[in-house]
Amino acid sequence: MKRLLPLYCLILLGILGCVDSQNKHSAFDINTALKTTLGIDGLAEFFYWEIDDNPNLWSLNIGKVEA
Amino acid sequence: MSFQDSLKHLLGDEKFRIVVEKISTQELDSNMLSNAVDGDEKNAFLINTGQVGHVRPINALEAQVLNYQLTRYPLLSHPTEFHGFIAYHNHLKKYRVYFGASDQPWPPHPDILLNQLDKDLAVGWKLVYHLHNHYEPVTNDYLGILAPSLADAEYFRMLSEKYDLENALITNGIHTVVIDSGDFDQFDSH
Repeated sequence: MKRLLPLYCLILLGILGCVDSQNKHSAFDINTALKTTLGIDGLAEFFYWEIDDNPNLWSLNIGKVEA
Repeated sequence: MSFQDSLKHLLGDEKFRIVVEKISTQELDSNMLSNAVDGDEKNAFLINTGQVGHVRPINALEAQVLNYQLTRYPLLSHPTEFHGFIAYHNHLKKYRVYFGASDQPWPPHPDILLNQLDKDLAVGWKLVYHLHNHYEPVTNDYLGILAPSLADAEYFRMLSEKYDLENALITNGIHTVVIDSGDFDQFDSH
């Protein structure tokens, strides 16, 4: 069992690496964008998000809009 | 459930297909332009005859921005319009998406956004897109027109002159029309 520990660690690191890689290449996510609030007026809100350039921002057909 | 699915559910499959096709077409006969009864209709015909602009499916960035507002006020039950200004910094390789919206059907005055934009444009940011959404009431089958209103056209012209805006984007949640600033003068405005 102990002898397999390094193997388990390698598999775990591999999985984490894949997930991280997918995150880096995922489409713009407002939850991870840097948000700067500029003002709130009643129920109106004003702010900007700052996001890294990423070709996935402009991907078509993956922009699912919620109802 | 997505907006598309909800709309299909409300309209039925066949009507949904017809409405989406009608709003997004760019293949109407160009002679229809001379039949326009007012400026709004002329602006719509300019897009729907394919003479101006390019209609394409909504993209990821536009959908994320629209979704943010829809998490506050759902489009079908509490429709609202937002302002979105998208600037790019060529050296930093970053985008800034300036956003303004409220609970009202029309977007709030974006003075706060424009004040910030003024400062940012002075330090290397470039206004590449103005994005906003259109919708229609239930009597018009919900789906927003992919063309500028008279007020939109006037606003785009101002943004082009004062902020060197490159493109205007209007989305209805399914499609988006991209309009180059060089074409803004073709639209009727107030």
